[in-house]
Amino acid sequence: MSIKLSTGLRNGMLDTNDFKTALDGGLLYIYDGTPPADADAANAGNTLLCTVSLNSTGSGINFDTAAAAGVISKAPAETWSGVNAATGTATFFRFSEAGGTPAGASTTEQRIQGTIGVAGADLNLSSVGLTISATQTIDFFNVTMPASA
Amino acid sequence: MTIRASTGLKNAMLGTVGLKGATANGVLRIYSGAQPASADAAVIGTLLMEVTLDGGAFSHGSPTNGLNWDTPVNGTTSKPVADTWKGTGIAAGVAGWGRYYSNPLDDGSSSTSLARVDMSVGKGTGDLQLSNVNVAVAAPITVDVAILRLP
Repeated sequence: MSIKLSTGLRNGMLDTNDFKTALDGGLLYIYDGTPPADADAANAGNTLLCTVSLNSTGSGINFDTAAAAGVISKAPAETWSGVNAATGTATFFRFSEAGGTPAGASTTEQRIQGTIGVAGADLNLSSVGLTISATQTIDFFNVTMPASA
Repeated sequence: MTIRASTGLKNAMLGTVGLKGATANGVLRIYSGAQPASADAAVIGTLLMEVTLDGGAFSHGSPTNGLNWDTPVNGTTSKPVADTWKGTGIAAGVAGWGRYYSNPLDDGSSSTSLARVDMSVGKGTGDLQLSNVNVAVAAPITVDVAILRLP
């Protein structure tokens, strides 16, 4: 379990940008299959199962107003949800900047990638078996900055 | 070789201004002995040297002679090649670790809000490389390499 940051996001956070600014207004994409090696790599045969947006409207989703204790969370007042586009087993996600191309290779786009499971993953769902046309809701989403490198 | 970011810096990188913004016009202080457990913790060891731009006088709250990081590449930022980070020995001893302080007043005591980076020190190796780890009073020492990476 370790969230992977794209090179574009790492460069921004080391410069004068921040995680929230980089990814606010973006979308969360849920896939099946083997996750790519890192958040820069292109997807390889992974099916997009669900695109999570604001109230399933397609609009971007946002993080909380500030980080605390090195952790930033989903904006608590927002409902993050999406209607499943395919049936499959969710294995990983990408949270991509607004207007990003999450499935393609890039060293400049700002995105994160993490594992999906029912427990102990970066994003835990009540069930990883997604069914087409059902609505998927994300109740909790936290990102922690490591203290050491 | 361990880099430790304070909670204040982690919060800045997640939610406000990024590392370069949070640590602009900072200062690097070199201490003897081992690093504290975290960059939130109070400093330990003897202050051996204060490193500033060209070795000039520095005061928290003023940008004069403050240090800045270069534009990041491939998830890594460094001391700008054109900048000279220099200090003069305040006390004699072997450099063990360094704390990069941001510009606002920071006396090195315990804090979860100030942006700091702790780094181990070496000569010819590590994230913070000095021209000489044996600090002598009044002797100048330069920082040859300083590198920060995001995993």
